[in-house]
Amino acid sequence: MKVKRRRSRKGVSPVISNLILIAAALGLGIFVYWFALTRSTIATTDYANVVGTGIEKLEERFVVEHIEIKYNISEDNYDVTIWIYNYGKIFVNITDLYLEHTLVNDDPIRQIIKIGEIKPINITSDFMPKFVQVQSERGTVVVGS
Amino acid sequence: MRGELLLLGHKLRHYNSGLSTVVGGALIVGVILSVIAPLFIYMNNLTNFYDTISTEMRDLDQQRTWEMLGITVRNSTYGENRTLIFITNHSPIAVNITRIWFIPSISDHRMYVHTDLPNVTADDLFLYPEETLIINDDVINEYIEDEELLYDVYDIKFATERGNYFIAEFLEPTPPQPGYYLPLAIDGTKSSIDVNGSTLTMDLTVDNWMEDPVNVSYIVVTTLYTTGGTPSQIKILNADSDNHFPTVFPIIFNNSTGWMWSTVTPFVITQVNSGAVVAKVELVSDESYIIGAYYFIPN
Repeated sequence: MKVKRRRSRKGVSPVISNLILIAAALGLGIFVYWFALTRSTIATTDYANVVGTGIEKLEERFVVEHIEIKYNISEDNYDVTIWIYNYGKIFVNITDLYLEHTLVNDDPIRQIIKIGEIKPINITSDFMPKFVQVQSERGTVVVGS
Repeated sequence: MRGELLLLGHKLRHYNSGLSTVVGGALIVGVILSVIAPLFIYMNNLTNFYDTISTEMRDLDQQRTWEMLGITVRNSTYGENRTLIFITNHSPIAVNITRIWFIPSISDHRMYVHTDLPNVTADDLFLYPEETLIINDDVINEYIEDEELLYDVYDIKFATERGNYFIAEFLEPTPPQPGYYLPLAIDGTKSSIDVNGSTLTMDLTVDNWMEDPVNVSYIVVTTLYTTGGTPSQIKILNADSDNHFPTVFPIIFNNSTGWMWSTVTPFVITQVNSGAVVAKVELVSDESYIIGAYYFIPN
């Protein structure tokens, strides 16, 4: 009598199911880790940017040290030289200049002043300004007279 | 035997049921330790750094408000040109003077740093509390090559490293000493000055009562409490003769910028106090001596 030997497939499905479970668990774990890492990186970057901007603004200090106004007879206007001194701990980018309340420049001036440096800005005015306002890229406004 | 094996398998399955919980917990702990904890540590460090910078800048601002320099300039006495600048640090902290501004009334403003001053070192300009630096006219003569600046009316401004600046207070020239006289006698009683601030009409009769002719090179008009002037070549005054100096100085008044003489190239002068104009006229010889003076007081 020929005995038919039946191949046992009884243990295959639990192995596969276990593999699937392990893969799912690993995938989920990696996803959770990746998600947490990404979110924390974004949060860290955002926070660093906010704090960094705040620190830059904290470190920014400049002053209008001197103003020289000369009357130009031939042009019937005034040559105004504004000396700006950076006594802060970070460079200053001067973008806007106001003679009294009138914005002088159409485009940003973009005058970079290094730490401890003093730089003149020359402009021409139709009137003799009583005071000037200088604004930096970081939004700091300094009044000089 | 088979029954025992089945029991063992059942037990193992029972034990495996808690494994995923442990692995899940370990994963969460791992995520917390590797992701969230560094995030909080980083943010904490950043916040501490922000606080440190904030404190430093607050200290800088406070020190800046403490800075106080007392600067007096004893200008030339009558008959000789002597200028002494006294700079005293009245603040409780050391002050580093980084720039000196000379602001003449008619020529370009000039900025000097210590390297422009041959006899002044950077250490000299670093003043400890209550320390006084005296800059005499020998030093001034060395670094102000343009003599015009010496004889012009000017302001002096000292700028510090912390972003402050202090304007020198000019003391009035020492009046003539007994026995010393000015060669020119000036009668300005015909002059008039508009208190409302429009015109100074200067009508001077100048009497040279010396034996020799006197060459008047400059006439300097100064408003007291303010500065301003207009040097110009005048004339040679013959000995023992009267000379007439009729000159009109229209004044443009501006409430904030002060007074401006408009007959010459305009310049800004600083008005220290408001009120009536009290002006002073000095005649300066070609040897830069003040040889005549007259004070205008509004009626």
